[in-house]
Amino acid sequence: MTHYPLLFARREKVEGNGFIARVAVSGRVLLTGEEDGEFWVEGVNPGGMAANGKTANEALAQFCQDFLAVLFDIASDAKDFEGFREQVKRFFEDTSRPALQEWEEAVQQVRAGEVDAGWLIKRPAETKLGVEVTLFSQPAATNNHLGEMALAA
Amino acid sequence: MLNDCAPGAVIEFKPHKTWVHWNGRTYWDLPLGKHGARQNPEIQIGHVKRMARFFEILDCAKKSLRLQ
Repeated sequence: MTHYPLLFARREKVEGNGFIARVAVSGRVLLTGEEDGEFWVEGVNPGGMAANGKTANEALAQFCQDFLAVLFDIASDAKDFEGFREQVKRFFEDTSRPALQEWEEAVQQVRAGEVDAGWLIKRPAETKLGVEVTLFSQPAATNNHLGEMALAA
Repeated sequence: MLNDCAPGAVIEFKPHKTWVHWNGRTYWDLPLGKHGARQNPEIQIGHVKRMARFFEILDCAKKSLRLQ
């Protein structure tokens, strides 16, 4: 198995009960190429989620879609914006410890030149993590963001 | 498996995913719908393994599900 330590950045708009929220996340995920040829992506932060695919890109695309689906479920569950924000923070901050341990080992392999993912840009593994949940009140083109997957190095 | 390895776990069905709460934590992304297991059992087992890893009950889950 090959592990790739990735940094995951997304900015999503989510409608909830009486509010529109913007969720900006900078997280970590572990991409694994399994022996059977399948790829899995496990969340480190946000933990508690995983996606798979026949290729790395398919697994990563599925992970992004699942991430949005979890946000939609949290929004449908939340009575108000504060409840939504609290749950999204809980979702993000609940680290997957087994995935984190492998993510950190994989960073060392990237730094040693043993693992590479030429299709991804590289960012420092120490890139600041976090999630910002804000009320969406003033639309502006500058809020648009494509998101990014990067190899942590 | 949850009965054996995560006693007291609570399953909640949501519009897009199934949530599993246990030990103060939540797995948010189980795609196990009403007919999910019948449609694609391989994928479901893979997700169950990742959930067990997240809850740190993987050894117990492997024994319970008789997985390698």
